[in-house]
Amino acid sequence: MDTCNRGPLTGPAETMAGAPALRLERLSKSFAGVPAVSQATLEVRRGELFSLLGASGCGKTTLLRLIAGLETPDAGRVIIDGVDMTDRPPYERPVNTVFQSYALFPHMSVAGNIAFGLRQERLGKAEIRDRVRAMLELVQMADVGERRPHQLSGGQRQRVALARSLAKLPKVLLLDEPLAALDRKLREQTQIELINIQAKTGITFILVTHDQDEAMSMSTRIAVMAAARIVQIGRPEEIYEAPASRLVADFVGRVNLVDGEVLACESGMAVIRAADGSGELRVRHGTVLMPGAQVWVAVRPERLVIGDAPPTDGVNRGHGTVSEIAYFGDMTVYHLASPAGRRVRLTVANAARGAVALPRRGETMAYYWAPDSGVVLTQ
Amino acid sequence: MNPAGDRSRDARRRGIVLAAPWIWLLAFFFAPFAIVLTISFSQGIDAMPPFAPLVDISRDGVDLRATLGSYQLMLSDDLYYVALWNAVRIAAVSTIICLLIGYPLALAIVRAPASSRSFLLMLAILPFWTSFLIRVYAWMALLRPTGIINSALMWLGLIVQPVQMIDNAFAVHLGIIYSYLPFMVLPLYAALEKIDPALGEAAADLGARPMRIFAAVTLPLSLPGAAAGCLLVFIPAVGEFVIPDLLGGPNTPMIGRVLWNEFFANRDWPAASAIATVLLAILVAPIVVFQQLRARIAEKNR
Repeated sequence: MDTCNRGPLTGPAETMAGAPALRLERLSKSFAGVPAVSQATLEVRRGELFSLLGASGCGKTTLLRLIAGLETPDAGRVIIDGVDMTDRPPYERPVNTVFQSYALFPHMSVAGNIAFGLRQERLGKAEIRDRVRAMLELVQMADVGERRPHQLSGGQRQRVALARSLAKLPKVLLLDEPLAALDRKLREQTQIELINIQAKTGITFILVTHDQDEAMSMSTRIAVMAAARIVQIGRPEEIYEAPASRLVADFVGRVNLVDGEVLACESGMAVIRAADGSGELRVRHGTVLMPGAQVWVAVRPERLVIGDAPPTDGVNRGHGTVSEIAYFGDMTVYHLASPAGRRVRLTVANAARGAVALPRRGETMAYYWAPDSGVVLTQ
Repeated sequence: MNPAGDRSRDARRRGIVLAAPWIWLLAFFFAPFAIVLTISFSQGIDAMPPFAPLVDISRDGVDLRATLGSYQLMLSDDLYYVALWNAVRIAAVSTIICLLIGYPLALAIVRAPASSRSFLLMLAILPFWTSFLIRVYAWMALLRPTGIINSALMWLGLIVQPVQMIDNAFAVHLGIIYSYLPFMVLPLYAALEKIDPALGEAAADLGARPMRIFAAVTLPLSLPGAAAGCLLVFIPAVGEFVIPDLLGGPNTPMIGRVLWNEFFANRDWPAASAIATVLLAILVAPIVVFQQLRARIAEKNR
């Protein structure tokens, strides 16, 4: 009750040390018949910084609210730190949330906001004061304790919201798009601070975001959500390099997709005939593919190399007319129109200043890519 | 275009916009009040109008004939104290009961599904569709010894003789609470509706139980609405004339009725004006307190 955030895990219950911080079992929730979360199953280990990544409306915020207890699931279980919390109200769950709008209490000072959760535990005055001070120092806001939320900037409010939800030392900290309202510079800086605070406190973070860069750069693991379902769970590099489906490949980063039919698959090398008649593609693929299967070949734009003389045999080649060039400083993005009418996206890192003469719009450009640069997707 | 000319034209336009409310206040509040204030210092005479002019300009020169007689009369006669005290007490009790009924009502409307919210709000203001006077008459028909409620109770055998429900303080309270409840509900609804639902969720997330969330978040943030509602009920209720006249009988004199009597029955315009002036002074106090409270809250959680 009062000490729920310290939970049943101080003392004898420490024997549950092996339990994951969070386990969701086939969790489902519909609103007016429309599924918001469908059969979500996942496990988050202690000390992880786990991201729920997806476009808006994919159900990631609902999933977070189900964990916090702010929504009641239609089916499935929520197990926090080894204890089934499915039927417990939010005020009995050892999790705290950083809301997207921050939801700071406008009629309380910054210190009052941070102390709010501690007061619910009926801690002593002195202890509350010390904890509030420690939290303010943790988020580098030591001198604004007496201010009101409306006197703070957006970035400062975000820190207060973070301090308030960390003050109770939750088993799991839930963050709902915590950086969405910050400008880009501040966002990058805050990302690093969040990682540092997470490392310092050792608390398990679950972060909801629609920003794939944010998820990639911050997370230990990512769950990609689409249309109420978790479509893939993995480390950032797994998600990027080995997407489980076209959907994930397309959502996380940019990708060139070619559909085709498997002609042969021998010792991990698949030969695929492109459906647009542009030829055969050779992709090194881990699993066995049945000849005749309909598949998609996915190649990241940065894996395409400009040039027409392949140094070794067995690479895939292509060419197209440059239709668009976008210069980003650190790299340049080319859009090509292939002879078959497909759009090919290709990025070149601008490693040197005023480098080689690069193609211009309207010119024909050749490229190639190695068989192990692509991925074969079956769905 | 020279900027100075623009600025003066802007100022002129602003002046025109601001003039409307000022002219309204001047014509319908300050001017009448100045007249009332003047009469309150005059002497009553048997004439039409029944008071002597304050400043008498005759051949002998200018003669100022102001008197505090009406105010002295108010201090000397218990009737005025009693009526004023009655009015303030009945209005205060009614306001508190309005708050106790209106707060849960407003909260229930705010927490209702969005689809039914505007319908419920419309129900709350539905009584305004009928004239205030007719609704008070309807209460008379309900509460009379031969009225609907007594007849029904007697027919059911629950009582053998009519219960006295009219011509007493109970009926006055009932009438005021019934009539002014919407004025409590509407500002409360506006204040409660403005509170971000995420604040309640954040409080629950931080370990607060529902009662605690109400006490620590909902209630303090709705106080400006509650204060506005209390003012909107209390101020007109203190000066209320129709309800005590129709439902109160002779034993519950309220200051509004005394004022009416002085003016129409006794034709003592100076006394009636003095009462009106004192009443206004008494009512300005809670408004000033409220304004300061609101300014302070606005300063704190702007």
